[in-house]
Amino acid sequence: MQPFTYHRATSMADALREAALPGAAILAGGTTMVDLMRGDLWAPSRLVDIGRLAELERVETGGDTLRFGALARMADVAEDAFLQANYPALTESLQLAASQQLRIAATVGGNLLQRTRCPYFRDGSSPCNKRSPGSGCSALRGDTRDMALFGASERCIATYPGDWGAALAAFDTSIEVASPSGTRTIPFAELHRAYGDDPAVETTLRPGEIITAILVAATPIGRRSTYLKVRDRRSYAYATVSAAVALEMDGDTITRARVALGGVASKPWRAAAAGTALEGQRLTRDRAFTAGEAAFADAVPRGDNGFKIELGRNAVAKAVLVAAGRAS
Amino acid sequence: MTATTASIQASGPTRRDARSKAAGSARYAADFPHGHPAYAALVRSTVARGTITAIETVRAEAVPGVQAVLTHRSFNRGLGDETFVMKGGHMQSSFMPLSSDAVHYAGQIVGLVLADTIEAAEEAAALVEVGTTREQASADMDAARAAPEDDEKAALCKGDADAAFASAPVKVDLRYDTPAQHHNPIELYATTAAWVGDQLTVNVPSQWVMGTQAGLAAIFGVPQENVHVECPYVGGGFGSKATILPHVVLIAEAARRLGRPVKLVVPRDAMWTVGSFRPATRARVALGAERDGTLTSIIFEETGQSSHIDHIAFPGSTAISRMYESKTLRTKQGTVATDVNTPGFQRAPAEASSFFGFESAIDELAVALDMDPIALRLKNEPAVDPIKGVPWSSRSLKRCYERGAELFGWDKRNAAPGMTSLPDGTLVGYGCATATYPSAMAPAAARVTLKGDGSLLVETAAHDLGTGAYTVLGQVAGEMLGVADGSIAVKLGDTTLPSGPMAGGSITTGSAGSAIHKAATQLRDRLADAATAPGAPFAGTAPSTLGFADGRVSAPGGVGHSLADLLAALKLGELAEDAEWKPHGMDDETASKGLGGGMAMAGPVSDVSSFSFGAQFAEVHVDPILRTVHVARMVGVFACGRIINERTTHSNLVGGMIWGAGFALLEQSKVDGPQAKFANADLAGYHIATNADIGEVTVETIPETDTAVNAIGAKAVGEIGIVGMPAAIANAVYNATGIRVRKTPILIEDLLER
Amino acid sequence: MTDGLPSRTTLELRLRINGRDHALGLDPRTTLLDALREHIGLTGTKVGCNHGTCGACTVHVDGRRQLACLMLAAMAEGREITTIEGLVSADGTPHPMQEAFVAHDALQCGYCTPGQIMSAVSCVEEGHARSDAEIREYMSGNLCRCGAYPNIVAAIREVAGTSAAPSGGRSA
Repeated sequence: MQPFTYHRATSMADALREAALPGAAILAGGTTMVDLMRGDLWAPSRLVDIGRLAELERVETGGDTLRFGALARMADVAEDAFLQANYPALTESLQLAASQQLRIAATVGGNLLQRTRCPYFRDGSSPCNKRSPGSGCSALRGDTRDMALFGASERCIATYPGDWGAALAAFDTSIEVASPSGTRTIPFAELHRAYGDDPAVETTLRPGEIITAILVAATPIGRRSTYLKVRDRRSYAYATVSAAVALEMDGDTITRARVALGGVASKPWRAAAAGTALEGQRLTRDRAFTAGEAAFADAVPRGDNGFKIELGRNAVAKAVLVAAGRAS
Repeated sequence: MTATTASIQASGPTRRDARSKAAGSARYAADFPHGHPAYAALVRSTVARGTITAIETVRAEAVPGVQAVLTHRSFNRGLGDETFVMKGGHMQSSFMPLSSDAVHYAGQIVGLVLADTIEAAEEAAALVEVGTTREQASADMDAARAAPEDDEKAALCKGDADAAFASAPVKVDLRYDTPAQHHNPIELYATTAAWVGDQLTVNVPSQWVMGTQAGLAAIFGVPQENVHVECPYVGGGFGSKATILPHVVLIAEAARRLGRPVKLVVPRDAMWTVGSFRPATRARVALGAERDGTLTSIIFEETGQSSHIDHIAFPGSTAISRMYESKTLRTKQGTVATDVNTPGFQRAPAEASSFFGFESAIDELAVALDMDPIALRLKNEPAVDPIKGVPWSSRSLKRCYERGAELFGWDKRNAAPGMTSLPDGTLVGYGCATATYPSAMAPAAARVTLKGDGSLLVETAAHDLGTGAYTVLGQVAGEMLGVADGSIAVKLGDTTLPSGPMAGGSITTGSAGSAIHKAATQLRDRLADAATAPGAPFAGTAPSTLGFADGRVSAPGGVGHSLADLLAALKLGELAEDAEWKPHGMDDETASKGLGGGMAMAGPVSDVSSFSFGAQFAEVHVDPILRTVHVARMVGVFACGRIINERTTHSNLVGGMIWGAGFALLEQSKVDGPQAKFANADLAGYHIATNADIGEVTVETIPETDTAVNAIGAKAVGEIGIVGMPAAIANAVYNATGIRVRKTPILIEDLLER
Repeated sequence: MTDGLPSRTTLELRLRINGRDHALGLDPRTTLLDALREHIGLTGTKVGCNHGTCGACTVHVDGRRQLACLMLAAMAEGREITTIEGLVSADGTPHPMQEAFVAHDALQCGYCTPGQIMSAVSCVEEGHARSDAEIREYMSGNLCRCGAYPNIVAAIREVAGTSAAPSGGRSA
């Protein structure tokens, strides 16, 4: 770990002032950040600990917009009874992430910024355009099993690892960020970048900006939703493939459908074609698999990760069947 | 009903060390205080093979708090010779990092930073710049730059197996692969070394304190008694801590150089290359049988991964060849050198890998024969050792299968694959496989002391890796002297104690237990003699008729005296007896070498053949859509001679079976081809089983009276639990899906229907 | 370091651990785990990975389980930290969870055990010990390489079944 100064922010204004200084990074739960710093994968020279800003912890679910304060803990949101009943995909994505110790420490805002588990990024030494721009991508000729099917480039094929982000991608989500110049809202689909020329830049956040809240448009579609996570180990493991599915139904006809994918893309991945394949259709087992096929129609397999196309198709199909089986 | 394990119901005294472990007061290697130690951090090679041409330490040395940066240029090359454990030394490898500019494997230690704080040491280590030439290298045994080598000494031959195979009416000829795996004990390889004059104290988690002492004494040129290795608790070994790992030497030398204690906690990712690992294997299993299931030919050809710097092999043939009666058998063992740190012992080193293929092939033969796989196995059960023709010291495999089948509900199995499911469509499969492990033995010494208050102290430099040795070894002495378990103290894991054996090869109970049995017998005899001498409380009674029970000594029919009162009456204070024990048939020179910290093993085959046996069962559930596998249930019934403590023994066997489940479904160290290195070197990428991966586990043991194996009749326990489980699970996966996976781990992609 | 020379301040911290205050001068990089083990001498909390992948360093922060390896000591200032050493009551009586681990042989090498016990206490307090399946899932953040899992589940089941209504359980 490289040296840094530590500052515990006493107010939002204080945090923004400190965050604007050169070399500053925002520290919240620490579960991603301390890990990256211990591995010398990130070396900020100034840490601004926003962990005591209680105003960022609030979760509001009453109005037209669900508002998750950035410092709400993953474990707490996972157990919110209203959300469990009305947005099970969201709470399931949180409950299936990491371990309870990590979910208690980690915040819903910080979690969105967790970084890839690509072993060539993590090892601190392999050529990696994400860690050391211009050095190359070791994964292209290396172990490709867990690499991305979507949103990758010849410069980087790593996946975004988050579950919460994948579930949020199935909803109309936006991110509220603050800076000394005020507050702005970013559509969630625009928070993360797919890999183009510079995979080291993963988000559209500007230096000094702080995520203050996650906003999800309230919707009845949340009630028939689920987050299905497939992994090699039954717990405490990243998704091999995951699918977030939300449905609105009229009898056995699907009137609206949202599908998002995790574990297979460079960022939280909305599978719009899968939604289209479901909407206006009668729910059948075959239709569920058709939606799964549609979700992966544009997938670009590399090396050993082609099985994730079939697995992903099956995961979407199963998630559609689970979601459809939930009471509206 | 909730799941239970037999171990909860199993009888036996509570684990002696459980309270201190649950309290957090049990002191592991990194927990010993050493004043103000310097902290070390490792610099490791990112290149797999080459020569160091430049090494820049200026920036590292400039970090405040850094005391020294040691590289091959500044490290002491005048250290004494010590070598690889397989060549008669004590080291994990014959290659010593920092001894030259050569790089032999990725992750090799190429520098050591010493600083006042952990933070400064880690910061500085990242600032050391190493320039290395890059030569062709491969860590993958299928793409090795060297040709495989045959190990002719390990080959076994009985009749013409190839001819018998060619003419067999029913046969299978199959290939099986297992990957490299790493031990990953939760306790990291921590080491603290401190010198006072020419006296060295080392706190290092060790499965062999005596060997570590002997090796370090040789390296540093000091008398063996000047080296004190102290590790009363080991946070998981599994073979990884059986030899001296190179960083221990580096830390001890650094401490000498600084004149200050030095402490290193090896980071998790470095655990892949600082120590050893279970090498990958490739096996061919060809079996021929008559139509009634009589085996006529067994052919087993296995190649294991080795390293270029050392030759190491774990031939499966020894155990494979003891499993079945067959008029012919041929085994071939080989190794292939790769550019990796040297592989080493990992829980059932030969058996776990080889039995995956061998016991899978038996199941495949049963399918080919349309025969129940248990019936096939029992039909070919050998009456005597099939290779040497000597009797078994004990072999209760048939009873293990009978009891296991009953416990498991084997009669409910539908032999046709893919035909059993739960109401929700989940596919269900049943499988079984045989486990075995040789009962070897090593010489050991022990001291048993009867204290004035009637309590016992048992001392030997053996080890408890979580196996229950603290409990079991105390019981051996307690039984002999009639002392209740609560009045027994046991000291292990310290070179100041009487010499104990390496905790490897599942030998501790049989070896150290036999030495304790001998010392306790001497003590009892001495006390009985004193107590029956003229003027003593039992004067006139024959010494051999005295009873020792419940903390009392009594003559036949009498109430007797408490041990404390008896000692007081005899004015004996306390009574101590030392004993040395060596395995049956071992010569004195070998025994003496062993007691001096050298490698000295006997068995498992002499005039008897001594193996533990077990029958293992698995029920798997396979998601019909996602093709994920869950081991819902495991049952193991084992025969391991006398079971001194069911409770700790069953826990040990349950743990082994959980290792087996991980072997089957989770564990592999992936190799990156271009960089010739292990690619998933952390516990997020290398999956060991979590609590959620493990369903119901049931273990039973079949009591055996084995008077031939050793003084206390105890056979091997620590490793057998893993041995049959990978094949039992693979066989169950076949039964659930009709898909035969001939490699581990069995992953989702192996079961997807395309 | 993006803005010139690294700053090498020492942080003066006051940590409250097991009901006692400790004044420490620490490198800001010091994790709570290293502060406990190397600076305060509380070695019951174990180091297993330093990356949040094993659970051996589980402690309670303001009554909830967290990993000490991923928390800087500075982040812990003003929080109530409880370690395995603090689980024993003032008169030396072990916590019922410690007793249950002993009674069920829910440990072998013992190295992951302090973390398992700290996590198990929370598992019950959180109300996540209502079934074996739930216990297994909510204890999966604590790896046990010896494979004591079935007995760990049994120990927690016993404590969950016999203890009074969960105290300190939280939900959002």
